[in-house]
Amino acid sequence: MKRWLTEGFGVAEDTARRIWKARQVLHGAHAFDSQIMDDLPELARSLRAVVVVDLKRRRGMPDTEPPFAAASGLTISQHMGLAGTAKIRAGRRSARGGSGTLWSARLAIGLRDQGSQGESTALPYLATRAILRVMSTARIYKKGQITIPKAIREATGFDIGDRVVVEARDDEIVLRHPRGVLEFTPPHPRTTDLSWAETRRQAREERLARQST
Amino acid sequence: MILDTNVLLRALEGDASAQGQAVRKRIETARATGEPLTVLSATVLEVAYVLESARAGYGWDRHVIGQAIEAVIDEPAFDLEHADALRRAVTSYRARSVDLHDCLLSAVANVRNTRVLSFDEDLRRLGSGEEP
Repeated sequence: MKRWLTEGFGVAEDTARRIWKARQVLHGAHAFDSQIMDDLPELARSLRAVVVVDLKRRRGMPDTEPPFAAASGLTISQHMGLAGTAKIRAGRRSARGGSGTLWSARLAIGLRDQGSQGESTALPYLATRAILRVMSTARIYKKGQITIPKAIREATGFDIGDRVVVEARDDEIVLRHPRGVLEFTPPHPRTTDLSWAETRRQAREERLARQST
Repeated sequence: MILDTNVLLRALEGDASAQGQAVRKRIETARATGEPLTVLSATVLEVAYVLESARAGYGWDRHVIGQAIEAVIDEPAFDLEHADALRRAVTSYRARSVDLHDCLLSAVANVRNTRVLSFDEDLRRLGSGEEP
């Protein structure tokens, strides 16, 4: 991990060491160190830069190539320790995760080398997220139609024919991958054809039986 | 419009039944028109325990139920009560064999930085319970 940061991205040795230590502290493998915690915002900046460079490399983009306007701040999972892991897929064009998340960064300190390409990998606690903003302009045509530039579609994993959620936020329009109940697939068809009243009665009885054991 | 448990269940079952198809169509329309469909926490809790029940025709495992609840939370057409707390509750529900109701109480307590007054062992295990 430290070598990956120093040799792969030119991160200073001391910075790499402290990033690793921060990870170990958050992970509970090292005793709490308030200095490291104070340094976290600064360390996170280096980490974010590494993630962005890494993302470009993985996507086969030259370092200098636009459009890579900006990346938003780096966030650390709010669910540290509670929901310490999240599934992402390596080798995919983009993770269809939360709104606008390109890759819940594989920076996933420490687990980078586990799991081969194409398999899902568990992200550990210090899951860092680089949200990339790829910008471009387009014009709105008759009937409100708009062409989403290819670079934008590719960066966000939208394909021709996909359904999108169109959301208005103040004076912005946000397009998202739909992930609601219509996209949910049940594990198997329902095995009974009970009325709702009967369904409820059965479920309640089963629950009571379970609770009393 | 407020959704009842049976409607939510039908939506999650897919379009195998006529009711399922009707509900999904309604949700699709709501997505397009922006009409808010309100889902109360009480309804989500009931959905979870009905989906746990094999006798009711489901018997899904916790992990899948967790995904189903997340789909409800993420549904763009739904207006949810306690969405953030529910999201956290689902996380702990998946990880241990505790009732979603207890997980929600614990999650809301965490969000509000308070405790849950309860005689239940499970709430103590979730780290939020406190006996009167």
